[in-house]
Amino acid sequence: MVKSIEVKNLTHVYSAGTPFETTALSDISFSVEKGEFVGIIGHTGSGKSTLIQHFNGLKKPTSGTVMIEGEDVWANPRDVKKFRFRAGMVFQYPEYQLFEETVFLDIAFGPKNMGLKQSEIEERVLEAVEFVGLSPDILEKSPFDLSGGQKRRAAIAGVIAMRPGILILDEPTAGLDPRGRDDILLHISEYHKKMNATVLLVTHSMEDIAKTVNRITVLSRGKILTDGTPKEVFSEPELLKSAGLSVPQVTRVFLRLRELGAPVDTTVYTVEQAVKQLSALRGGKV
Amino acid sequence: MLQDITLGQYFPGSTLIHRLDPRVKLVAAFLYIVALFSAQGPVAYGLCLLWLVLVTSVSKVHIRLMLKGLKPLLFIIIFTAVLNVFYTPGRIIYEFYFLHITYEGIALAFYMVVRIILLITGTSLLTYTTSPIMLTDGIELLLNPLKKIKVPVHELSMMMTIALRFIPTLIEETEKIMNAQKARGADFESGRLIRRIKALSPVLIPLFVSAFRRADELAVAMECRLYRGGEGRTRLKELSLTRADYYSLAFCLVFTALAILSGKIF
Repeated sequence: MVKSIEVKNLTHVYSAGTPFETTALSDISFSVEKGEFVGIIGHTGSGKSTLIQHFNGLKKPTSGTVMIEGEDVWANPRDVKKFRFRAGMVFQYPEYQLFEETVFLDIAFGPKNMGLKQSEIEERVLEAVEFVGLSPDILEKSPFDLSGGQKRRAAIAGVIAMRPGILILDEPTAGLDPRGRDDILLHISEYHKKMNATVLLVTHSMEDIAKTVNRITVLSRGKILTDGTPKEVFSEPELLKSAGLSVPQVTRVFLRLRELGAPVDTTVYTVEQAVKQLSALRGGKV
Repeated sequence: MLQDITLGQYFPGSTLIHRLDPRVKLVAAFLYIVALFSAQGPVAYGLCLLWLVLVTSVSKVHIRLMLKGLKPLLFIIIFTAVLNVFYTPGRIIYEFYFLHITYEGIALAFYMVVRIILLITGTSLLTYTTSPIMLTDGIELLLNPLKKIKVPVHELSMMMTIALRFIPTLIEETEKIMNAQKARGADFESGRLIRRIKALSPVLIPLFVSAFRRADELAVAMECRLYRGGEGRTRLKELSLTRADYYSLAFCLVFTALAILSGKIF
């Protein structure tokens, strides 16, 4: 089967040939299968944002190739635009990109740029609004009259309305309250399941990632440090520490319990698993 | 494209030029402009060039950086040159229907181009070597006497400080928004002029909204720290003139006098 994303020996250098030259990505090879839900984590400046901007052709590799759904993004530089629709990207704080008079028009911006018919656009906007959990009666409101959380959702809907086969989100939960976070992640998971889409979630929050993804890629200083299931990645707390990251809080609690001599499994990374473990310790009673 | 804007940029350093009092540098820039505009004949221009070269070499600003500042103005420079070549009356060298090139035209065009280049590189040296805060401090102090006739000097200089401070921030913000809209298929690079202008509204509207938001936040932050204008306000760093400042000032005065006089003598 064709891979959703396939990156080979990707290197990206900023301001090449000037005193400000910095290598953001060095010789990265990485691939994502169709339908995977991948978390990309890394410290600030590890190259996460640079990496994901290669997937929709916003950045051009200094060397190496990026294949999206089996096609080389830069094979024909004039055609790069079509990859913007295949790999839909939600930037950090996407609410700052809202500009139209009504929420409807703003969400329709992407589909309109795809050159779709009006009826199709309308259908997609309604679908996208439902995916992000907004009620359709806000469609006629101005996006600037919405609350912070609603703005964030409307902006994400603007990308989902393009029905991208690959959805990339850069810190979609930054600055939201806990309920808002859980809610947005839930809706993203729904899009992942219903559309059988490939989803890439870039985040700092170990808790977010532990709950949702089925694979984690850790970036550090422009290279891939480790890659595997959450269980595998979180079983190496020292390695994560070396990249300026850490395991989820629950895992830390369990690591400490083990240190203190309790017979617990330390591959716990969500609260649900923790509850199960602890109740098993107490003999099945919660 | 956006990274090419060097206007108002400051490149930190610790050379003599960087350390000079901003007031001296402002007066020096003013004298330099006076010298340049009153210059007549090759000797005067030569003196200005020598002045610029001396200051540039002391300041250690890279020559490539100086030339980069000229790039956005290339069109104006060429336009001026062409206009002067064709529209100056005098001894005709070459004629083609209604176009005639004169000896005086070529000479004037040459001097105009030299003048513009010297003017831009010379004055950009001021912002390259002076931090925006020092610069506005210097302007405020120089304009202080105007307070007597009720000119809001402090307010004006604070506005300038804030404006300069936010140039890089807004450039960064523009790039972010452009990328976000490109990700939704916005196209800024193709189409006719009108389409391109229309294509900018998805960038400009969010940019204005965020500029107002920032202004609002900044105002609140300033009020929280009890900012209430210039009256009775003291400085962390008091500017005071050193011996180097006086020497530099004297040096600039001599050069200006020479440049003006040379036109009269030669």
